[in-house]
Amino acid sequence: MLTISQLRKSFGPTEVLRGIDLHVAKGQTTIVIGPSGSGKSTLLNCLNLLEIPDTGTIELDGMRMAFGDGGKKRIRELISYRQKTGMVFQSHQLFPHRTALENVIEGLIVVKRWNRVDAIRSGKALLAKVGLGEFADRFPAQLSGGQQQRIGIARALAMEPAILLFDEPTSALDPELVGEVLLVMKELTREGMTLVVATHEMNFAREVGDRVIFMEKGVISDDGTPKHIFGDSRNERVRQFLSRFETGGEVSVSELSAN
Amino acid sequence: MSQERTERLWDVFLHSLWPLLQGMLKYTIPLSVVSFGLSLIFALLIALAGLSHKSYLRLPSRFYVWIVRGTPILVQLFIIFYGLPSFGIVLPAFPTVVIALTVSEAAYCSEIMRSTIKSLPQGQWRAGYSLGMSPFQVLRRVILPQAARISIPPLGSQFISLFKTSSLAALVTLPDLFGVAKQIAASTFEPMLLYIVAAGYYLAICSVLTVLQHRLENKFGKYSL
Repeated sequence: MLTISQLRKSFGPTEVLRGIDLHVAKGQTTIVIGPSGSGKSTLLNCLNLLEIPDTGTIELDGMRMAFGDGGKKRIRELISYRQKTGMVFQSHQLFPHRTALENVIEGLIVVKRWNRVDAIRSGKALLAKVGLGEFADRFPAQLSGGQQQRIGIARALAMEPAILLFDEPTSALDPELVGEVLLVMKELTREGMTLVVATHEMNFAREVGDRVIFMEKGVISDDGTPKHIFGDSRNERVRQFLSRFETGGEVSVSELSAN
Repeated sequence: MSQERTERLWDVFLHSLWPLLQGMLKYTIPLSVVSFGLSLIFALLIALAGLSHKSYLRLPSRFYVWIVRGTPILVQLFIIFYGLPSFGIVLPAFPTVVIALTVSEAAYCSEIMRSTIKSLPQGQWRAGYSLGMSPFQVLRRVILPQAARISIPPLGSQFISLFKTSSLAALVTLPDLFGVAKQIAASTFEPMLLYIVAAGYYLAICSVLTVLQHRLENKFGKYSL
């Protein structure tokens, strides 16, 4: 599904990604954890080419992109690659001048050139799926942070991407709003969607992740099942990092779905 | 003040009202509206060029704004009307004023547009790109609609200022509101009265524009809450 190799990215003198190799299988949920500044966001941004990697290759769903061969990527190539990926941002980045429904169908109408009737039908179904069917005509400013983020998810899903990327989707939310977003994400994994999620929600990582990678200083320094990472990682830095989350104050997704 | 003098002032006042109004309707308003309409179109192009990563677009745009903002519009107007004829380019007064006002206004409006476009979060571009939009599509569907709303209030006050600046037309012989006032002041020797009447007309129109601007501000300043 997604294979990246030797991905490197610098901003000025700072090398943020220092040779990332990763293979993500279809339907797998990969959780990316690590301290701030470890390169999680940059990795996700490189995965949908919002940042152009300096060197390395990315292969997604049969489309191969090589970087650093001197040739500048043509905008057309970038656009067709980006359509295969969906992105959910930390600060939702909904379009404030459009309603919830219009946000969701924007890509269908502008990029996929669907007619409005079909787009609206599909958009309403997606809003219902994220539990916001009744909010189609609300503007983002009229919704709570959790609702905004769920609309962000619906907007990304509308394009039927091969992979869905989440860049700390709950970090900007009030604690009581985190659960509703995680629940929608959990539902997606159950449906077989391929997700890559950068997050600090360790309970979510443990329960929902098929695989957890630990990033530090621009490299993947540990990689394995949640059981391995949270249970018996031999990596001292991983244990140190995780010990900060062992306060137990987090929301558990399974508790939420039970309610 | 003697009664004779008062009567004369009253007489001049009454007889000046209609010609001044005509000057406004025939020149001041058309000059302002046409110049502003044209300047908005040019301003958008200049603003976009000024935001471009390509230096062959950005530098000319910045140069233009620098030159135009750094020189008085009266000087620009005189260069076009009195200077260009010595190079064989003779333009009638009306288009001269339209050109001068447009050139100047486009520079100021482009700065308003450039700064509002820049003030939008970078994430809005990224959100558009992440859906697979082209840069032009993001601009047209995401950025410009938001920028337009934000820039309506400052562009409104820019128009009010342009409306008053159009009085420079009188200095290149046009009988606009101020031009007519000047003529009548000269022939009646009542400058104080005439210029106060002219000021009253400007104030009246600008007051109306200010009210309209506030309405627009309320309508577009926020996202339908």
